[in-house]
Amino acid sequence: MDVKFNFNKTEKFDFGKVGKRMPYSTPDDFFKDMEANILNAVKDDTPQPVRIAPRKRSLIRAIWVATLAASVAVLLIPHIDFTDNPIAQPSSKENGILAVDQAFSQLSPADQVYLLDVYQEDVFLNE
Amino acid sequence: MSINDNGIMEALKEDPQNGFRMLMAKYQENVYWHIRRLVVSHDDAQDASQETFVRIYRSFDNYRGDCSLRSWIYRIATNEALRIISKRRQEVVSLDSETTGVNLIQGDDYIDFSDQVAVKLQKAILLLPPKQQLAFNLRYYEELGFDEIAKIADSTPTSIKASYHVAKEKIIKYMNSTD
Repeated sequence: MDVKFNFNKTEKFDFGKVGKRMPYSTPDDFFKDMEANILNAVKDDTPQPVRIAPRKRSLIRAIWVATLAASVAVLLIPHIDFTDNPIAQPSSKENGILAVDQAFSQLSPADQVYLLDVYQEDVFLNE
Repeated sequence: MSINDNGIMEALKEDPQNGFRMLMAKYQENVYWHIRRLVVSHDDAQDASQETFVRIYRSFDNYRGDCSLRSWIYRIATNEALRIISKRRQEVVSLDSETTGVNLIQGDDYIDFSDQVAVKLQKAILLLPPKQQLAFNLRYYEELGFDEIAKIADSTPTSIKASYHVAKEKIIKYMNSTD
């Protein structure tokens, strides 16, 4: 056994020994002075109001609606009797696509672009 | 009494100056310490902090709400810190740089060198690449989530998580060294 082996070196440093303590400090009343400096620097500026863009919840809701519509369409198609009009007998797959297309066409152009961007990378859709 | 970010946002919409005072009351110290850990020098941290808040005041219309108010503030603060480091080094320093090149902790009146463990910990952090410093500091000192840090660093949570763990291991190794 190596007698020079230092067991302390194998112990991991314990962050709890320092915690969040830092060796840094600030002059007295520093934050009060800094606040005054900042307010002085912007005193002649007129701040622009905050304009929060609407969140993408509406888009997420639209995706859910489109998905739901497609699912419902796929479920209903086997129960629809198309025999009255033998010419118009679209497959269930086509009906599902039609429902999706219809839902998609109801989205705003921006949302359509966003959806296309998202699903272009979707490995399951592109299988 | 802690000020809620939603309350600050409402105040900013109704009365930007009052909202700004609320924002400063809540974030002034955190922003200063965040910058201080990156730039080390008190004077530089003061300059960068003041510039951060002036920029915030002049950029309210740029805030789109696609990240939290806190993330937006820390992002501006981080950019200001990197800008001041770049100015000092006379070369561009970004989060992707290998190092901030800060001459560690030397010659500042507002550093307590008698606290050797705390000084050594800061040296260990300063030896890390900027992205790892950011990930470690924001997680360890500010207790932010990896998602939020990713927004601040314009990165992914997975990448930030990896940076944090690598940083932690490097710090432990440095702290265990006899230097």
